[in-house]
Amino acid sequence: MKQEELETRELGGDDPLDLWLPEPRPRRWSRFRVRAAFGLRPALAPALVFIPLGALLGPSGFGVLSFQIIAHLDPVVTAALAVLGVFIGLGWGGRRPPWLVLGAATVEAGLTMVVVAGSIWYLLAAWDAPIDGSLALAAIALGIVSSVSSAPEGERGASPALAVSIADLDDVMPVVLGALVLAFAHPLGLSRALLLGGWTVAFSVLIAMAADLLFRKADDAERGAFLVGVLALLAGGAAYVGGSALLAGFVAGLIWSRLPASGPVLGRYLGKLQHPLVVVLLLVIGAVVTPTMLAVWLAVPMVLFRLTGKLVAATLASRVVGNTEALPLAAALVAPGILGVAFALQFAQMWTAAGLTIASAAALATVVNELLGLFVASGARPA
Amino acid sequence: VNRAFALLLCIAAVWLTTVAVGRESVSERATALALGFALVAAPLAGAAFERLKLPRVSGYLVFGLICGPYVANIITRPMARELRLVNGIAVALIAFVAGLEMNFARLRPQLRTIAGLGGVTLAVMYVAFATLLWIAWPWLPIAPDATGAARFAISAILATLLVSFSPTVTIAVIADLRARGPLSELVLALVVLADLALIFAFTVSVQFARSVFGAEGAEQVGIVVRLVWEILGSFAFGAAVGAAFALYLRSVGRELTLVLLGACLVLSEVAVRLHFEPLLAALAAGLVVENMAASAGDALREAVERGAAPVLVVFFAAAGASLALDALAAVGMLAFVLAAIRLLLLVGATRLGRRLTGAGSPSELAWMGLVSQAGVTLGLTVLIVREFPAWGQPIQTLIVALTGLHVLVGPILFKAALERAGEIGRMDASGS
Repeated sequence: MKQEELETRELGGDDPLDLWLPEPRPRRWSRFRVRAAFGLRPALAPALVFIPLGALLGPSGFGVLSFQIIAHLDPVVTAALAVLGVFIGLGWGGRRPPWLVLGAATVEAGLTMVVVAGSIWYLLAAWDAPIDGSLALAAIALGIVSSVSSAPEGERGASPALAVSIADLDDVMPVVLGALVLAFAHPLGLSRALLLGGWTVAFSVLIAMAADLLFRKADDAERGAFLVGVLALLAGGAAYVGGSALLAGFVAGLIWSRLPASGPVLGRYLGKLQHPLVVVLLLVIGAVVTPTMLAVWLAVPMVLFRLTGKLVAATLASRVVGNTEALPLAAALVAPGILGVAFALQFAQMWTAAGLTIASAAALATVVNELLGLFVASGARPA
Repeated sequence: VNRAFALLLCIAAVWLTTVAVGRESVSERATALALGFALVAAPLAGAAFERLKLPRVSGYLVFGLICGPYVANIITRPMARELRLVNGIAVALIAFVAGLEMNFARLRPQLRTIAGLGGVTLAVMYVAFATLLWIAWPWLPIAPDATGAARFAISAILATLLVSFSPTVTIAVIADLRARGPLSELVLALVVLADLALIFAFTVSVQFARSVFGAEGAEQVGIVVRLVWEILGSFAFGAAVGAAFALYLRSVGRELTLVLLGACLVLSEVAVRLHFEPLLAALAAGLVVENMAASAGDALREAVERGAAPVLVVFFAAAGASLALDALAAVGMLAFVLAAIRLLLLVGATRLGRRLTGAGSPSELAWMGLVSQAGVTLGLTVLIVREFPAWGQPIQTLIVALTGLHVLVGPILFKAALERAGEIGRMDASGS
């Protein structure tokens, strides 16, 4: 059994089954095996591996991940969104960050979102783009997708500590704004959608409290079932009313972060689920990529304006906090990580036609941004 | 108290979401909600059953039954239908693990006993049921007017369905109780091999029925080809998936949770589209992995069985939610009588088998592990309804009711047997 466990913020630890099994037999060609290809040693960002793999396996590629299978994976994807939301909530609630850093993260995310959303809105209107639904909402959605950062650590780069803190905290505003965008796009109208969104929060509070009670005296096997169940409930409750699974997970994570008894246990068990769920999420967004002209045309300004936004935002954030150089900070925030595509998938789930265009553009932009992040981060690293 | 309060919170939250708040909303996306509710609430029912010295899986089943569309309707009909989709992957995973138990090298010393005991049990039960049905035919609400060869053909088909076992429930009970030992291995080998023999007997019986009921040549070829395709094709397809998985396990061995679930998705979804039997295909895949990469296969089985609780909960809760109580109400008395006769025949046939093969302890308890019936039986019944709707429909009602009874009683008896054999929890002892 392999003992070492790699903790990364995005992918979680090793796959739980991998840890149980003996090391594979070494083969002549094993040195050619790209370790990162399977996410264990992310010298490459996971998005760079699994999104293209998903596209290759998806309906536009070999068709292994057909539309029917993608539809069957819908609850898994929703659960993965809830897991990511829980981690954002746990990180935010548990860390109690300094207000200054929180302010810097909000400024950074907000400014990037405004720059990307504003420019995309202008371009969509100028192109008279065939988007089903409001152009402004689509632009804001793409802005939200672009606003998050991952600040890679380990073999992929050594980001400044401030960048890591900002990257961890800049997810909160997009989670809340993303839920609002979903409410605006809800088929039952805004007032009903806001009511249902409110119910999503109340539902998450109830389920988080129930999970705390369940975890107190459960054995190992029961905890496994309870945890999967609680995540499915959080995701399912949000999906049932057309709300945001990320918000549902975030609320539950916030509550759990304040519970000293069950919070850490829940976090540890979640780590085991995080890895396979995140990989599914990336494979699915890769599979739903529809390489239309509009998606490609949207991806280009997304990358450019996101880069501009991150540069300006990092300069402002470094001023807010002080004592930090703007360029290394901006370089560390270029890689978007997996949260951007998580937002995109959420829009695609709830907002079918326009959502697919957003998801395709987001997937393409994420791959380019991650590549860019690899080069920029290594170039800007202090000697 | 904590758990009861947690359960109340969950029930209130789900009820408010589905009935009060979300009644006009996007309710076609109910899978995750149904799944989550089952995974949170069913283990609590399982724990309550465990306190009563009953198997946890029976608790999951009863939970599904009570919360399902026939009783409390918390898991509504669309939600139960959605659960069945997830259930496909659960069945494939359970069957895959059953295949991982089948190591030919380890089974070789027991093979004579298994074949002898299984052969005698099947033959005695089959002949006895066919004869009993033939004699009692005028009182059975199936096709009372059928005579001669027609009556014989229907009796033979019904006998096959009545004798069949459930590999899925067997492996699920073993995994849930963390059981290991000679009885677990014997029962598992018996149900798997017996089911293969029964599918073959079913093919022959259906072919005979078609000739008796005057089907045309092309159709006769059709059903033979279909069943041969289904059996051999399932094995070939499963073996190919298993070989690919074994190769991956030996050479790459990374991201196994995902690759395993992907393999199960392929085995359940692609197999159905190619008209294969997912259970057979998954069984064959597990069998190939275990015999190609034994040490990795054993470790994989161990790991999957340790984390199997959510899979078992989903499988049994979905089975409980789809138990057709209306069928049981329609043919209640007859179903109870047939279940009692089946139980008596099981006891007698296994006793005779032990005497003829000289099988030693704990094979005297084997009959208790053979009571369960589930998916395979229901799958074969669907084929009959499609081919012979006139008398297939009443057979289906009868078999659905009987399966419901057997899936409720079977795990309880099997747990008692494993307890008497001292095999419960031995998986943990040998694993650690």
